[in-house]
Amino acid sequence: MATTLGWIILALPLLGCLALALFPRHGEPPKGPVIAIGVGSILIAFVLSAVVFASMLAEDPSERLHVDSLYEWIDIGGVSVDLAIRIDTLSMMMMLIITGVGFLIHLYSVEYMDHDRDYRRFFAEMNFFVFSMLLLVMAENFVFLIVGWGFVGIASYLLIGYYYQQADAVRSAKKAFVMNVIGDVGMVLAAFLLVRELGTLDYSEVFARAGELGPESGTALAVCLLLFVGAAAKSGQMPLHSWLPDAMTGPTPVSALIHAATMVTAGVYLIVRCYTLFDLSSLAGDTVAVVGMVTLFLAATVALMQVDIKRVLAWSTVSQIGYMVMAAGLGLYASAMFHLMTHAFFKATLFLAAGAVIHALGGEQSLDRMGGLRRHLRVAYFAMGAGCLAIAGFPGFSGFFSKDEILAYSLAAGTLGTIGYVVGTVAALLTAIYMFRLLFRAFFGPDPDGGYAHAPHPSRWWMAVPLSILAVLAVVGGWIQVPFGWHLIDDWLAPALVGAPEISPSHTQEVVSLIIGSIVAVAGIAIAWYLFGADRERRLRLAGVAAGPRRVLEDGYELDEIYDEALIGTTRDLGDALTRDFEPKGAGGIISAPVAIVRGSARVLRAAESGLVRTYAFALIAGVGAAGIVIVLAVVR
Amino acid sequence: MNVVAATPLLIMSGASVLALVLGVLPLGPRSRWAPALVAAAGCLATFVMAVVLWGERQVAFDGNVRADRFSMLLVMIVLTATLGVLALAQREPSAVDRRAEWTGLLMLSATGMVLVATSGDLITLFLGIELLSVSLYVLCAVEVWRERSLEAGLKYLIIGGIGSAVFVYGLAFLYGVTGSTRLSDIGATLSGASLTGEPLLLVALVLITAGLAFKASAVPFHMWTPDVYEGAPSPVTAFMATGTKTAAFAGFMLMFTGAMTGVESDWRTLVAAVAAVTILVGNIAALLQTNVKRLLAYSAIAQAGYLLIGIAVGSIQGAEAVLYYLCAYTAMTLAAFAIVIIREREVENGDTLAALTGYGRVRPWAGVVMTIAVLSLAGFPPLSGFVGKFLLFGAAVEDGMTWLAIVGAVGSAISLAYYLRIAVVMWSPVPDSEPAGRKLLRMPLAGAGVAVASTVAVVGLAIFASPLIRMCRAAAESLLAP
Amino acid sequence: MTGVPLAFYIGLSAAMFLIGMLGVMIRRNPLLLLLAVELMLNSANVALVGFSRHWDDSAGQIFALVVMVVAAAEVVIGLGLVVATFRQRIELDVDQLSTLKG
Repeated sequence: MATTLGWIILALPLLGCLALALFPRHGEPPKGPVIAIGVGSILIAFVLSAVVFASMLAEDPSERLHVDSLYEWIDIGGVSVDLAIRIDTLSMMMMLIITGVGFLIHLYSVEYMDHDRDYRRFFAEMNFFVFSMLLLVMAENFVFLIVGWGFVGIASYLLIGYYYQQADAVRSAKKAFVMNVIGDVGMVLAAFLLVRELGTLDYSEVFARAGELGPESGTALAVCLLLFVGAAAKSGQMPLHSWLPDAMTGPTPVSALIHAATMVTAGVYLIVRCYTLFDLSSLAGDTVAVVGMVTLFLAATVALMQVDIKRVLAWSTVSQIGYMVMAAGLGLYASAMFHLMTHAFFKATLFLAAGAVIHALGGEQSLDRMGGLRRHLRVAYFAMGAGCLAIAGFPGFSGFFSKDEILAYSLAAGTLGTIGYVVGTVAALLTAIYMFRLLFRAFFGPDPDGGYAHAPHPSRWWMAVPLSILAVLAVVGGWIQVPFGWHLIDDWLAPALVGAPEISPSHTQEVVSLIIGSIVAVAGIAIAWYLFGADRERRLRLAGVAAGPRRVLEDGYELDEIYDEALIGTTRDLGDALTRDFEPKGAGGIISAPVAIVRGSARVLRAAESGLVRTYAFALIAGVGAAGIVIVLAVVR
Repeated sequence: MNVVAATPLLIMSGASVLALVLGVLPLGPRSRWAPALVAAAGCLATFVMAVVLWGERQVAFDGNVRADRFSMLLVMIVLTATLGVLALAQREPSAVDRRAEWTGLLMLSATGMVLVATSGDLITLFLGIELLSVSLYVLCAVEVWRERSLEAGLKYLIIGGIGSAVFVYGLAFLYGVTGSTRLSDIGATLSGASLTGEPLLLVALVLITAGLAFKASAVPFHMWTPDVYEGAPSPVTAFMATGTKTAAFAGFMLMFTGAMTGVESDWRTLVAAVAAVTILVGNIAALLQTNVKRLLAYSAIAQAGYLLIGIAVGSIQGAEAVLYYLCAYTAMTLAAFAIVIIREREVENGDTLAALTGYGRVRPWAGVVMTIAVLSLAGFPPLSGFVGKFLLFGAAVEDGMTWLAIVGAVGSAISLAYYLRIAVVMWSPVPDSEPAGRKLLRMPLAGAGVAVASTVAVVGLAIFASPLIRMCRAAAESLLAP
Repeated sequence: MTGVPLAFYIGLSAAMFLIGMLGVMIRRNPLLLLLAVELMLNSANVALVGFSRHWDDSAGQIFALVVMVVAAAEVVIGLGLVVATFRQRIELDVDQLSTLKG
């Protein structure tokens, strides 16, 4: 029964998307049916997921694995790939998060997108996203994982560029897409390696026979690193992170659902799903952990200086996923999933609260033009407060438990883990500071200079209800797993993580970490209050200090500029090559070697097509000569 | 004498000649559809024969013509392309003006392709390639009042002549080495005696590779392709992109995967090198194009590179991947060209990117067709282009040519830049120059039908890939049957 | 086997092929280009006939006949196109055929 319901859960958002897309063209349809289909499909999917969850609870833990194949999709020389789904405890957890948080955000969008002309397109694309994400987590083999992976990329591309009239949005969408494709290439190559080594792509077989790759072998390392390229691109890990802050050009519910709660955590899911492979290569695991550490720290420093409310949250997402990736790299798979869950709650809360602010202020996103909102927007204030306390790790709130778990367990995970603990703790302090900076600047103090153009209007219940539910989850969600108490997440995931290394901290480590964690959170909030809350004058004085380093941070270490030219530019410039070619050259920055090479060779190739018959004849004959040389060289060797 | 195996060829020849003759007969204006109907009927009849002959190998004319699973699958692809182009050409000015010649030549060219696919001998193989080429030279230049069409035809003829000469010279040397023109005998000789590294054989390999690579428009023998694709009438371009490519790869598989498999070690590096260069050059050169036909020409070059991967690995699995990709490629190319052709009839210079700007907002279904076609060409999952590339790259990795798969993946990543540009342009806001509320022509039904059917195929061949892949495997295996 | 050794046939055909190749690269008149292509095709014929004698097999000679027919067809089409081009008052110089490029 579980799998039958699974197919229905998977089909519902797809049907919703198709139904919305196939509405008669002319004239926008009435909003009622659009809401009913768009939100209803996700609601039913959530209810069914809950039913499956309940039925799995009733089962013996060792039997909580259901695989079902619809039909054989392709069969390549003995490697058969089925359209199959897998419902185990890991995918079940993801399904609940995706449909649950997804439903709340859909509901919220009903009001948020109220003024939008393209209401139907929005819900069609959102439904498509949920379908793709479900496909990604429910796939039973690497091929459909990659298919889902590609689909969420498309959905993300469409929704980042939702306001296609703005050049910004289109540019960000393109950037996100191109960076994700880099990841996709990595995934595909990993899949090929698996086919070559194991002759199968089904999870069950790959993981059962992963040992054949050989522990610490080069192949295992290559497979893991290629998979991690995909994970890093999707989850905004350095150096492939820079698309994520730019992705904030999409509507806020999109940022909440795709670029905070679900899609960007797909990389973490992937690593946890493939833990058997990552356990084979300690070097791969270490690489993952180090990348996570670097990302979580640098992104936290950048978040300190952002002025755009959504960009603060975006950088914070990069940083928080850094925690999960570090945990996964250290082998703390259940902890990573726990933080993934609480993060989905509190980050969605934060984004939706930010959305309520932006909505109330008619599109204003700059912290400089906010202040005193506490008096105007009660619901958003409480929700934002709850979210901030949670993410800062204030004792008792959800982030406290999950972040502490990652940090405490890191202490038990060797030298690298200890380094991770230190980095993570410092970054936790920064997290508390930057989040409460946001809260204090937006909600406390006087109204901004010149006041608000029109009085901020509080949200109606469409936005208020989902926001409140999420806020409650952000507060209490962590109690599901309590140190020295109960470990429901660990227990639930255990059947899906059989054979993963058992790492658990000693009592002393646990206690020390809890205490330090609490102190750090409170200290961070206090510092933020001192700097940004208590005295407005002090904040303004601060603004003049160390302008140079500040600018570097504001620009995300200017990595963006560097990549723009060096990495992303290569590919993106290819797309823009034409337009630029006809434009007078600006005093653009450093043009790096790869860009120059590709663009140069494109021009040379165009010049070579001279239109002269004799040139073509010459090329043909020269080609014959070259072929002769190649064949002689090949045979001689 | 058993002529059953030759029936596809005979029906096609008959239909070609009949279509030509109908143009000469004084039948009056009511018969203007007659040539197209004869051609379509001929294609359908041949298709039925191809289905009937799908099975163990039968030979006709003393082994010069053979019908087996391999040749019949290719015949089906060629016929699909021919039918599609026939439909797309229904309102083409040159085709309206000279219905009989146009249709007759198209059918003759298709007959050449069928001959290539069913050939069992170097002579028939060469004859088929020449028949398809010579007919195409004329078709390219069929708009004699248009300088560019003439230029395309003449360029194609001259360069094509050189290509043919190189090819036949190579065939002559192959004959010199093996003493036979029969493909099966050549295969036996090359597998039996140790001829690896024989100088005359190497010369033959170089020349044959060059000749076939020319027809497949692989680098560095590709330079005619963009000019000819741009200058020729668009349905002819679509036919070259699909039919000629299929025939060229039929030749590649018959010669390399089939007859010359015994000396694989001699040619695999060469073919792999050509494949790699083709992928890179085709994709990079496409970046700067503004004319969609020209862009698709470079894309066709790059796609030839991917296909060559399947030849370079030299295995049954490689041929299987090539066959699948040819099916997928034919569908996606027809879809893309259908939109260009429809747009060309609505505006001046309809084959430029500028003309497609915002077209998806005017005609959403056209936008959907084009978007799916380019995404599939780029190899986006889970469209059939992705499945095809997956098979091709997979075959390369399996055969120890991982580097070639990586080149292919890099090329695909580059290609996204220009394929996505088409998709983005299609959905951009309608430019101001477009008069608001301009009345659109009524949709040409045949063209729209081809566009939609091809798109359905692009998606369908991916969703139900398994049966087709099994067919391709059976076809590829029959290639090596004694 | 008596008579002319095989190497001579190959040598002659290679010489013809190279001359044809040079011709297509340096000539600008389309008629002369066509002639050069003919030369290349006929070099294949010489080789075919030579090998045919070497193997004492008739297939090579049949092949040569087929090549001749094909070559004739190609030239006919070529001449037709040249005449059509000439009617458009385009100079008989292939270097002028360069509106299509890039």
